[in-house]
Amino acid sequence: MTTESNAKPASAPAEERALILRVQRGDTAAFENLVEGYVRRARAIAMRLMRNTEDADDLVQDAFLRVLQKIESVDPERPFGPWFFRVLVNTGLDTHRRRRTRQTEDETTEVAATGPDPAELTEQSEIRRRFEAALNELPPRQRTIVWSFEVDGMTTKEIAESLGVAEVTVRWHLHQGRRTLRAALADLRA
Amino acid sequence: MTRLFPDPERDLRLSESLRRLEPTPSAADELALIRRIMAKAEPALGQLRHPSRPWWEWMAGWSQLAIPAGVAVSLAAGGVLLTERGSISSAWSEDSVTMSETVLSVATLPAGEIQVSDQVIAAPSDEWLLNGAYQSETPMSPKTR
Repeated sequence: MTTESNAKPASAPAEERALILRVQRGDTAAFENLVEGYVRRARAIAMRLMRNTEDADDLVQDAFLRVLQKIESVDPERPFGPWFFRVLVNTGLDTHRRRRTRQTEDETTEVAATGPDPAELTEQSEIRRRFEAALNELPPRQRTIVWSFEVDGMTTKEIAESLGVAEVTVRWHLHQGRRTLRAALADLRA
Repeated sequence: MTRLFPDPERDLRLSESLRRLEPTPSAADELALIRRIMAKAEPALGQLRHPSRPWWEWMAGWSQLAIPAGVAVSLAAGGVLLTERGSISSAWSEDSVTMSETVLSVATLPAGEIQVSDQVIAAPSDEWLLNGAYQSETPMSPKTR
């Protein structure tokens, strides 16, 4: 636990606050603005979770519709982003659990389809293939944590807030995920 | 404020490998997704614009009108009943007086068998009573004399 955990929660920017209030009254244009503002990042996170464009887009859509169902209970004073991404990730994890069997079959097929091609057996492509396989084997939550930390530059505290889990959990997943991925890369380096 | 356990350093090689796997966002796909979301969201937005109220809220809304209206109707009905009660009771008392006079006259008049049977069986009219009254005023008929 850090000393920052008792800090006052950040408040939403005035523009976003006004947008949420308008959405709560059913303003279509305001909701569209909200979607446009968050859709790109939402798709990126959804892709990391689902590893499939179609499923990722379905997830983003589900998350926005869930948000709309709960919008009346949203406090406009609180930042919308962390809450929205928490809804997105939790919806994705639920979907992933339900589809686990099917997803595994698809991924197996995909790996087989992109199997060894003599022209592509360069070191880079092999690294990419193995790294992607290792990444796909990570639990979805762990994968999201590693990605958010390494690519988005989020702190463990920010990730914990966005996922609604303890910071220590994020640190554990980060440690495990990075170790797995580094191992996949280290094998190739040797 | 410094953290007791700072975050680990970013692994550049790992970050780069992950970035390479990140799909390039397509603007067209993004726009299509926004349109899809907006189409699906329209019913929910409409619901927010015109929220449907649960039955108890309807009841509460209507009760503001229904309760005073019910009280007013009850008061009016009570007033009508009180007014009508006066006229009904006076009519009833008049009937009672008529009836008691009839009974008294029957009791005091000398009655024949037919008159008694008519009284018991209920006479078709009050004519016998008039006859009785007439006879009582003329005790002796010319024939009797």
